[in-house]
Amino acid sequence: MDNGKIIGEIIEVSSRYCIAQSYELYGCPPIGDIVKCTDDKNEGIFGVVTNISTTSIDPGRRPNPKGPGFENVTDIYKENPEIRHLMKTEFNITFMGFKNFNKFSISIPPTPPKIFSFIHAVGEDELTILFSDSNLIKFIVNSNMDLKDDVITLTINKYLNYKKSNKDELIRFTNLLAQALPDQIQRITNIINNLQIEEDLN
Amino acid sequence: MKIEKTVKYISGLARQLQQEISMKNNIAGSLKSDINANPKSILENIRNGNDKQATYADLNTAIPVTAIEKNISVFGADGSSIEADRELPLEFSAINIGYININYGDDPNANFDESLTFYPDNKDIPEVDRKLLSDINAMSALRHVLEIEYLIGKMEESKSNNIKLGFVDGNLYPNFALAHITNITFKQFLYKRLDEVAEKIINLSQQNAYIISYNSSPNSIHISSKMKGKFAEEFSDSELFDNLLNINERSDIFTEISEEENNNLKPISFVFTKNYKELSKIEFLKDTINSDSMDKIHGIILSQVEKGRGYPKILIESHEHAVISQSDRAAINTLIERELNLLNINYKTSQKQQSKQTRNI
Repeated sequence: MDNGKIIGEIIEVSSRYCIAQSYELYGCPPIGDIVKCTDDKNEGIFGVVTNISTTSIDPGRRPNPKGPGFENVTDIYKENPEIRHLMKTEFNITFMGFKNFNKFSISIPPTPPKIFSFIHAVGEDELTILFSDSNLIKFIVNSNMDLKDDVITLTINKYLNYKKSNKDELIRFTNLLAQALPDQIQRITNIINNLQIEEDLN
Repeated sequence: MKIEKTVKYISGLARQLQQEISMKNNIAGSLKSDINANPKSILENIRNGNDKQATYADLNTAIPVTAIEKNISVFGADGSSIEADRELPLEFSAINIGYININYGDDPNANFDESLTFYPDNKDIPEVDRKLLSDINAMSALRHVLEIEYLIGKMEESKSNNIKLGFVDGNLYPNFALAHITNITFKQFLYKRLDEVAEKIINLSQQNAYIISYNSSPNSIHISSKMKGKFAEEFSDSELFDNLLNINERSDIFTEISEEENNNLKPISFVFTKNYKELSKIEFLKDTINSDSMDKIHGIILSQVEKGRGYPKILIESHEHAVISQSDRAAINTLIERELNLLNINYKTSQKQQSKQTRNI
């Protein structure tokens, strides 16, 4: 299996989504990133990060402000090094595909990954295969996730910048959005306008 | 419960307290005058910071906090117990020690740890037999000894070159519990362990590592009970030093020459410090912290109190790490049930216990 670095583990899971906790505080991928969940048997269940939360490890202990008196946030962490042990970062992953016998499918997995399955970053090859599937955008658009349009924007954005894709690719995504969201020109326009491409597409 | 009767009783107590506070406020000014007017009056059995007979003049010593060093390491240990429950078919006790070390300065980091021990049949402490489990004072004193021992062990292991300060909660010795243990052999055993603890604390103090206990708003009367005159008997040490110290100041170092039963332990010294929330008493082993070291430590204590918004952060976190929660306790009960059932032992709590859980009408 071509697995990237293990970021964390699943701590809650159901058919459509899971919640994972990163090993390090704030050590999770940004919203819109595609990640892979693996256990010792499955070849990989893919999902998109849709929500990130950082809270106390003990629900009965709410954090209190540490100031006033600090000039920057870094100093707060430096002066209170225990914070990193008392807080946790969790992120929601909405499933959008899986790999079986080396074949990729855009769908929820037949069985969700096990609790404590590992979460990995996804390598370039798998990312390319997933994004080349025309069903991907339609699946995300029709999924029931938080901040859906923002996630779509960030996901496409990430891929285009990662691949340094050309204008044709942008047009392809626009067409896919148009198919997935018929008669919703304004919505599609907003998604496209919100894309922040790092370099001029050639 | 008849709530009206309770309200009436509580409000009576509150009115009584109001009168006491008002009376104390009135005489607080006179108390200061009395101290200033009689600087040579002695405080019996109390030594001052120079190890001389303490007098009223020493009460007027108020030392402001100085700047703290940049690189410091603080350590804390606290304990939590599961008391033996006679309703359970398996009678046992458990002590969980929570520990934290926080390093501030160039390489800020924190380390947590804990130690869980069960009794009886503990290989390290076979002195705790089944009978002793029901002696709350014996188990409480044992817990306190284990807390300090664990703290010392961790501080000895620490490779940090920073000044190190270890905190325990309350008094340095578990005085109250020790005084009420009925099993003399076990009491002697604890005295021996505390004597070994004292030796280790002395060794640590020679390596820029100190252990103190932090007593929040203490009810002690070490000093106030030694004062003469009509004012003194009305005040506790907290109330006395609350009037004598300003915020961020500390008192002189005092040592009480004890005439009590536990005087076979190495003597304890103490200072009072006033932070922005309350007055507290800091205890330490006599001669392990001199006035210069106390100046450094004073700043660290106040900084910890500030981080913990009124109580040392290190003790808050070690307590949190030690606590055996209600869900842990429930899990233990489930575990007992499962293990007994696996051995085909029909486990049932007493009907009295069951009736308390169901509370049917």
